[in-house]
Amino acid sequence: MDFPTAGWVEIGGRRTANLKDAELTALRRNSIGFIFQFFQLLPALSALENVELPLLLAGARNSEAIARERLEWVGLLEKAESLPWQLSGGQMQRVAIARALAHDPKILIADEPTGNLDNASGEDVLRVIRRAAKDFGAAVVMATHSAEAASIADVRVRMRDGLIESVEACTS
Amino acid sequence: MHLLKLFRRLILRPLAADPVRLLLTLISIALGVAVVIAIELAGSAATGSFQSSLTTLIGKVDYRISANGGVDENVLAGLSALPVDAKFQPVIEEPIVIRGAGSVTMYGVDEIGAGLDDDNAYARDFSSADLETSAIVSNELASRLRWRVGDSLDLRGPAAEGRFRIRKVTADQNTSWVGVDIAAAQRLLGTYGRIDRIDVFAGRNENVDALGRTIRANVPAAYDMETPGEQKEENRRMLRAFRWNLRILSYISLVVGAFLIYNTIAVSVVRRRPEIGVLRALGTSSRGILLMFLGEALMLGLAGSIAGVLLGRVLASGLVGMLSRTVNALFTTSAPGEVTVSMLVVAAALGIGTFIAVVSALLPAVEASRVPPAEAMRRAQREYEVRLHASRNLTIAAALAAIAVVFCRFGPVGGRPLFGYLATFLSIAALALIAPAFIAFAIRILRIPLKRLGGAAGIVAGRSLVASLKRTSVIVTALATAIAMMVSVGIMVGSFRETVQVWLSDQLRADIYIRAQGPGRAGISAPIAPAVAGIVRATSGVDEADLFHAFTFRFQNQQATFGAGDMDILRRRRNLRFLNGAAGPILASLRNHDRCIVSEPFANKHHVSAGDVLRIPLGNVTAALQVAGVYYEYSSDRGFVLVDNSAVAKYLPDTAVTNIAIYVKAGWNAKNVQRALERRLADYPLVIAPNATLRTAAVEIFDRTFTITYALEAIAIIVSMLGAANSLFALVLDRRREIGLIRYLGAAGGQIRRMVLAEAGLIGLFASVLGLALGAALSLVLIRVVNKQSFGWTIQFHPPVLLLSGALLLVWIVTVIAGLYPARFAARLEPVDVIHEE
Repeated sequence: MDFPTAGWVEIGGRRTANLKDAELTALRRNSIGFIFQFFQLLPALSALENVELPLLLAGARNSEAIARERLEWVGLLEKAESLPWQLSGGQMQRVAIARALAHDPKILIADEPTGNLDNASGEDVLRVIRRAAKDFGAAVVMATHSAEAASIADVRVRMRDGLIESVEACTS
Repeated sequence: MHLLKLFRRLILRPLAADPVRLLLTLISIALGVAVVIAIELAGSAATGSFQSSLTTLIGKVDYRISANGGVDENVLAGLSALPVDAKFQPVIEEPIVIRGAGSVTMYGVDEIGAGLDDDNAYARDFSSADLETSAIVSNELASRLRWRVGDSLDLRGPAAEGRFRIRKVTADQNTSWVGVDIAAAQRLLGTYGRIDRIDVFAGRNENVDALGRTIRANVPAAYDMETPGEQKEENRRMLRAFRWNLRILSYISLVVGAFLIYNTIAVSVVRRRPEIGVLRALGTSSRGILLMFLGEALMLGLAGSIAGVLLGRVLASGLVGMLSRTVNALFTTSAPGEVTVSMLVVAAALGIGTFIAVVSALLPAVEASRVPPAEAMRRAQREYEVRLHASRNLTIAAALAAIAVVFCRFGPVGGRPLFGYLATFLSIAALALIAPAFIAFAIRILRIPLKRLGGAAGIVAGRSLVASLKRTSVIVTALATAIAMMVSVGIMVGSFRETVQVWLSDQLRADIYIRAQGPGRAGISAPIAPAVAGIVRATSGVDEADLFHAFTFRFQNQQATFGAGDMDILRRRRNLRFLNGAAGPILASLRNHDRCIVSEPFANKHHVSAGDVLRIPLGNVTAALQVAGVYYEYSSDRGFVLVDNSAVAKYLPDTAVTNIAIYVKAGWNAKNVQRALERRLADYPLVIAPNATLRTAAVEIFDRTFTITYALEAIAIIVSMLGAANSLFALVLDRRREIGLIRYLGAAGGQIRRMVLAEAGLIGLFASVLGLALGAALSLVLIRVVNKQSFGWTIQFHPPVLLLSGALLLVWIVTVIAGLYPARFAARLEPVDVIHEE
């Protein structure tokens, strides 16, 4: 999506700076799932269709069945036909997580996933993200201001003004 | 003052930042206004100049005396002897052939040149010996043929030929004509003792009304007397239906434009909702917001209308030629006048354009004024919650449609199918109300196929259209209206064409047709020399020849064609169809009786039916002709009254033959007979044509008549295409964030492009379906109501399926093409920029 101003990003042994646009698109499509602070569901699509979208973009078979599976996994199968504005914030974020996991990504990138949620919903979402790492074997990269959110991580990298302050491994 | 500042910042600046959209909107308004003004200007230029050429030649006329079959010269002598201060000018006006230069109008007048304003002494310069060989030509003709004063020209009439010397070239004439002395004209035409009309000029001290009464008392009762003003009024009346139909078509283009203005303002409101919210939170009144958006519409409307007036002026010049050819072929002789743009027309065009812009903007502007201040805090989610007032809208649409159906049953108002026009506009309104529900319903039905065919692009495209239903339905309605116009006129013209062709094959049964050279007037050819008939009948291979006489006459103050032919030949050879009864007995009853048959348009226009008695002045007497039947006829809406040649022999024995239809003996080759005729008639300026040529020519005239209609349709389609591109572009701009997001989720640029193109394709598809349905309904209104009431003929329903499907496919393809630019724009959006705009 973006290119580093210094240094490089390497995913699966390939430097992203060397990839062409089509290859980057394929990389996003196959290996990366995104979770955003503002959920970023498509307002015109139902919950199920939102989850199904990356599968359709990748041309996957059984896209609808997989999407249903993911929705069930986040516990929102009964909301499959709901439009985003009919869901609560926590529900929307769970749909977004289901969407991010739709194509079994190797990496799940979460940008302030609880930043726009109340405490109870936030905790709920964090539990789901933790479970995602376990059930889907995805590496979760989460950026957050919240100590509570950070506490679920295996490795914490503390940054201030763009520089790394500390790296600590946690056993939890 | 602060409102102006706000207007500049909130309305003008974003407009300027989006020049492509601004331009597209302005072009759509400009085209709509241009079409209306072009039709208006070209229409009045084509009708408004019937007198111009002759006025230059002989001055301003106070009365015009004419008679069916020509005016007797003795009447002129009687009038000249009256003790009044007036001048009586005999006039002959006929087409004539100039050797090597085709056919033009010839004016034969007395004391030629007396009325030329710049040179009153001119007439005296002719010595009487010169008079018979002197000619005046219009500057248009002179410059076309590179003639100068002193050059010679050869004129060929049906009776004689003559060489003339050009004595004068007139100024400021835009038609081709030649003026000669009346005696010379009579010699060329072989019409001694008869003239076409007498123009009367009142002297300075004469009371014009009293003069009129004196003249009336001294000409036969069957003669016709009118002022030029009356004649102009009559011409205007005759062309009224024709012009009104064009006018209504041009207004439909404006309606299409109105939808697009609505769309532009609605888009600008939706896009600026958060800003409006902030402004409201900071204390701007809702009235202020309303005025700002109405101001935007006013500005767009005014700018677009100004451009439209200029464009319309240019278009008008192009249309005048087309229109006057049609007028000449179908209605009456007219020289196209100058296209004059009066301040009134300009003001009306600016007013209409601006008014329509403001009215179209009213709804979205009111909506903008109602944005709650808290809106600024929220992300604009509202459009996705738009509730469909489906049942309410559908009920209103059904009511409008019902009213339209009732209107179709009403008769004409002052000869105009006003209720038919109203029904047309009501139907368009009904369509606008149906469109949203239809689109929502169609997308629901198409959900599965869209997903199968288009995958993610298909689903997102369909859903986005529903999500921005308000805007989608406006653009679909605009496009559907243009398509409906195309379809309805297409069906009407196609049906008409088929009907005419069937009719032509019933009517044109002779093998060879003869008429005089030259364009003729209002479908009536110039006279054929009397000797021709004898030569034709004596040519071997000719079985029989039908001599047809036709001239223009006036009935209830409207022009019509009076025709006479051999009813016996007609009965045996042609397949005339009557509204009532069989052709055989009706036609057989005409011979040697004061009976006639009338064409359907004549019957409708004058409320005549079988059994009625028509009083028609013929020569010096008024004949009472009983109507034996009403027949189907499609060559002219002026209307025909047809009698047997025996009636002409009785009332107007001097009437010239205008057409000869020749039937070839069985076993003879028509081509050989035609060659023989051509050899034997080589000395006469005639057109000798086989059946096929005539038929082609008739269809050509028909097609030419509808060229303007096609041009108007094309413009409406272009306007709505621009609208489609405009709206798609706006839709893409508004969904930038979503498009960025879809890119995040792994969409390639190509997939985004396909998505936008799919939206364009769906818009085109929905518009085609709705346009086809509305168009089919409107075609019935056109055929059964508008055409019937305007022109009076029955058209059989024959939809040109192949042509229509081709046209629809073309429109659909062009809609998708209109989506190309927005699609490319969408595919090039940088996902990371877009999503971080939050």
